[in-house]
Amino acid sequence: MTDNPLKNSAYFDDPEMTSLIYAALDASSTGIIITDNRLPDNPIIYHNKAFETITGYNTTEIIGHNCRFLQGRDRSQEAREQIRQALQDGEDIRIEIRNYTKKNDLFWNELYISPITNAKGEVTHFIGVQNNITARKKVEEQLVVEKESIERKVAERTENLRMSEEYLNSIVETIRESLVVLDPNLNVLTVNEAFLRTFKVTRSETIGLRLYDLGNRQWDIAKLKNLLEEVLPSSNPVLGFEVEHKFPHIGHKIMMLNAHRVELQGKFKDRILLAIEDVTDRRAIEKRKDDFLSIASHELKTPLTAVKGYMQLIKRFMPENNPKLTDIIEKSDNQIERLQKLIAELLDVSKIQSGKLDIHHDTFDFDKMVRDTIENIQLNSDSHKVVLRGETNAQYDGDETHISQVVGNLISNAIKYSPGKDRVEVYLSTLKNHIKFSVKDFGFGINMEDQKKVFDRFYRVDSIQKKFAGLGVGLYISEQIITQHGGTIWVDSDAGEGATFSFILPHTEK
Amino acid sequence: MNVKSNTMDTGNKKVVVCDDDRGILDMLEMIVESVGVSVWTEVDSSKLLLQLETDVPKLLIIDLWMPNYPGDAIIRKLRADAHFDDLYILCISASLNGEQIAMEAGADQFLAKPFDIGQILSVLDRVLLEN
Ligand SMILES: Cc1cc2nc3c(=O)[nH]c(=O)nc-3n(C[C@H](O)[C@H](O)[C@H](O)COP(=O)(O)O)c2cc1C
Repeated sequence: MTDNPLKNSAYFDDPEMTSLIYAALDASSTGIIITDNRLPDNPIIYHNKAFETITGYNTTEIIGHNCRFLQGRDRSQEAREQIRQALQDGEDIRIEIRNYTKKNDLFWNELYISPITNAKGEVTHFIGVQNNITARKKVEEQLVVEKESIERKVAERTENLRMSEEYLNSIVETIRESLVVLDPNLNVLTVNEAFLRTFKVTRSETIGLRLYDLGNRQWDIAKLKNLLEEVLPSSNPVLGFEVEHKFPHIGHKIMMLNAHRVELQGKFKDRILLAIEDVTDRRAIEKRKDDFLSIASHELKTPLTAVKGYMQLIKRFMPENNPKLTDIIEKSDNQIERLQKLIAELLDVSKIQSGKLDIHHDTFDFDKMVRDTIENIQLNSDSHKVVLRGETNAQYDGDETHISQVVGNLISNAIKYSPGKDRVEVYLSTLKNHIKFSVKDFGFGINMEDQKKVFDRFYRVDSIQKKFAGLGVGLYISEQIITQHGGTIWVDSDAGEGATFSFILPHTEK
Repeated sequence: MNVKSNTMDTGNKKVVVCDDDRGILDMLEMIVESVGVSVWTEVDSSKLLLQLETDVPKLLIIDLWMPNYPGDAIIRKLRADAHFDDLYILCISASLNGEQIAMEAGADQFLAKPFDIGQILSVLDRVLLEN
């Protein structure tokens, strides 16, 4: 800035050009002033139109004044010191300073000041250029304020989240189930330690991948995909989805999947929490128990069938008048019968346990069924007389075979547990909307303690256990059958005075 | 109920028994023979169909749960072939839902193991003396 462009300009000698330059300066929307540094206090000697517009002052209030009047009473700004320094050093400066209009309205002034030097190197003038940047400044300030408040809020929330996340994390990590957090595109966001342990994988080969691409694509199942894709839009969880698969590292397993939509204080709304449980052992045990009992009873029945057949053949080919042999055959037959019953009971229990005890519904003559059952029992037992009293006259709708099994079981027990007596009594009756069957024996009876437990599986009254063989499942099966018909079964007894077993079944005569 | 041996034609193989258990097979053979009916037994179910082709019996007593070729599959195959229209099929099994499987496959009758030989004899009586 050693030259003075105004003085050196050829245009300056041309009055027409001079007025054109003034017109151009006045056309500008930027304020422009010139001060004379040679005069005391560096007064303004020129200003354009825009300077009036920006400041609200008129020429008489401007010309001859030092420009500091724009600062009003706001004099202790750092910018002012910087300007003074620059002016003193004869350097140019760009600065933002708070100024006030004539009406005392604040405006942010973006100010350029350039010194003009003469041939001797003395600063003779300064040119000042002003732009009102209040609007821009406001936006900037607002941004700063907003940014600060956002940062503060974020900090607060992060703290909250950090605490709830820590809480969640501690739950997630201590839980023994494998957990996977998925984003809406079913990408893995996080997994817990249990997951890594169960599947023998590392975080790096899991996180960030799509669920379907994990391992050897074990979760790439169309049905599972459909269900998982519905979790977020519908908030419907996936429950108990089982996947049987040969997994890498861990081999053949059955995994049970549960998936829920999760939300944490609005931080993440659209997350799916997938819980994976290894149910291989549980299923295997269930299946083995099922298989074992049905295979065992099948395998037991096969030789039994052969033995029973041969026994009956012996009977056919046996010479007559051989009482010794007849007696042996008779006894063998009884043992075969017993074995057959035990196997049948075993099978019944296995059916009940696996929920496969089918109850068929057919209408049958209840009283006739009881008479037939008694007749059958009397064929094999002449130690006790089974006395039948009362009637139901019911055409009952239920499973005749199974109910007859219960009746037979109760009467046989009554006989079995009253040795030395000569009769048991059966009562039939109708109650309101029910039919009732009871059988009374005159044996040892059952004490209160045992009465509650006799219907338990494999429970046998201690004092009786040693005397009589059997699985002790007859009453358990009977209770199951009666319950499945909507009825109840119970025992009344006073120790030493025999016992009465009863059941009622809902029935209304049509 | 008893069938006297002299009432039966012993010349042809009228009854075929197929069961993978030797004990059952021998017992059934004795029962059928006890009434003077000729019987032929097969322990390997996969060989049964070929044998039946050459000589169609009147009665087939067949087990369900057999390795190689399960009984219900054999029954289905026979029922799809007009050649065996007159064959009476008695299915015997210790399986839990044996009756349902047998009847669905097309057996004429089902007996659960363990059966009474009287039940077998009455089937023989009925089927072999039909005509
Ligand atoms: C050419 C020129 C233009 C200036 N324009 C402004 C202005 O627009 N607003 C302002 O507050 N100060 C402006 N100043 C600065 C003041 O005039 C003054 O130099 C400043 O306040 C420092 O001096 P002080 O401490 O004596 O007030 C300008 C100065 C010069 C030389």
